[in-house]
Amino acid sequence: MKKKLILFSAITLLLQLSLFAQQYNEQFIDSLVQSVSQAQVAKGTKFLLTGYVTSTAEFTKTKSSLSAVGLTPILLWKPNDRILVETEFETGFTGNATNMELGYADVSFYVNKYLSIRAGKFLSPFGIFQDRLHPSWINKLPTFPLGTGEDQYGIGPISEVGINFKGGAQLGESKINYSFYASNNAQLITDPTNPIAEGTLSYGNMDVQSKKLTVGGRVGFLPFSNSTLELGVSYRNGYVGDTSAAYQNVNAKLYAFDLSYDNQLDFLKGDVDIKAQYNKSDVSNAWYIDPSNPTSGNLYTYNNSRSSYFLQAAYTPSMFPGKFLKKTQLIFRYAGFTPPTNAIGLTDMKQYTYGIDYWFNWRTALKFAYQSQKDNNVFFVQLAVGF
Amino acid sequence: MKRNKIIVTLSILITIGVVVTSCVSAKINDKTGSQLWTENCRRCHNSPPSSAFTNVQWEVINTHMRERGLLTDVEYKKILDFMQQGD
Ligand code: HEC
Repeated sequence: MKKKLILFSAITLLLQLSLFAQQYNEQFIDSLVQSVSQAQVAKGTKFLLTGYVTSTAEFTKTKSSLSAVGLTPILLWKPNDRILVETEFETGFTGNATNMELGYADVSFYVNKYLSIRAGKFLSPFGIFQDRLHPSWINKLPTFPLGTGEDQYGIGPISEVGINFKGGAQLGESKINYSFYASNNAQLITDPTNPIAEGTLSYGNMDVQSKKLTVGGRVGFLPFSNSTLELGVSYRNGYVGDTSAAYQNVNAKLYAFDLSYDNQLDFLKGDVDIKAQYNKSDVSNAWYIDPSNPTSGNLYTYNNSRSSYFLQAAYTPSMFPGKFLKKTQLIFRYAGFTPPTNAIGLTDMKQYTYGIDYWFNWRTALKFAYQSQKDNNVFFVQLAVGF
Repeated sequence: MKRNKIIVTLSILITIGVVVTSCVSAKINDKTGSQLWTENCRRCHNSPPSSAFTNVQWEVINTHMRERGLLTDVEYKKILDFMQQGD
């Protein structure tokens, strides 16, 4: 395992260095990708090592830095027709720290045409961003939209630990899909030493104990038979307090609505890709320590209802002549966060991101983006390589 | 204000796109693997060419994508057949 990781890091580092040295071309990348997969996958076994590498540089008026380097290996194994095992490790280097996290690790069992059951740690089907769009070779911009992470603006989990029932079916000329789960509970943060996090939910603590498991799910509907449009509704409901008398009945209801549209449109001579998601969280009444004066121990409460959203539109001039234009993509994303009214220390936030990508192949992109969020303007350059 | 205009324009664009595409109709079961591949494998990311992986790898990947995209059984089987014809 270790050897494989080292080999991988070496190969991917090499790949990145050579890319930075501007020696890249499509065949070169293809041949490297192939040699990697051939070296890793003995022919005939249903085992695949895949994933992606990301390097990000950030520039502001006052500083420039290569701010993050990440390697995310994914292992897939299909031991028989009915079973799929998937695991993802997120390794990264930010600031002066190396971090490694288990993105997901789960087993799916295909029961019949319409149902598969998955258990373990899996990406949450709460909306679409984390489940479908977050890998750097898929995400068209170098940053996650405001409101989709697990920070003070984020609404909804990245992953769940639990059991998941899902499937898809045709419905006349439309399609419908579902994904329901029972999972570990989130935890309400009531610690006043981190005032911006107070009142938010944290996920993924395996020790968390509540009266009942959280339940949730998403239903997706693709009205047109060419699958260009998908509309989704997600819901997640569970206790979020600890078992102490003061918090045991505190509950959080989360909702999300998402839209995906992707099509080649003749009248625009190109491909249009639109993704949008709206998230809302309602946490029932709880008492918080006044963060403006944490030592006083004064308690206060507010209606802890918050929302976040993003809308992203991308255009690729795929029907224009010339190779260069066809591989170029323009992206705009608008994202926002609305805090609970009367919560101390939280303000409304908007984020605008403008990007231009150049795609060397289907999963290798050089991205340039300018992002403005309140008085913080950052220019990003990111190289994302799927392997 | 300008930004709001952009958003309104985009919404109009979506509506136009939706109206244009809604004229298309054919049941999924009547579609070929190639058609289903074209329509489905670009929804979340760029479509990979069939030469990118071996037949065995495609079986693993398409199962993974069936997971992610919650593809129907027919879509999964037809797309896999199509991808594996490549080699
Ligand atoms: C609903 C969104 C969605 C659809 C539809 C989809 N993909 Fe993917 N695909 C993903 C995501 C997300 C990943 C990244 C997996 C990860 O990093 O965990 C991915 C990864 C891949 C990979 C890299 C290897 C792997 O399995 O991770 C290949 C190859 C791929 N997709 C091919 C396809 C093909 C072929 C189709 C059509 C059958 C397809 N995809 C349809 C979302 C999608």
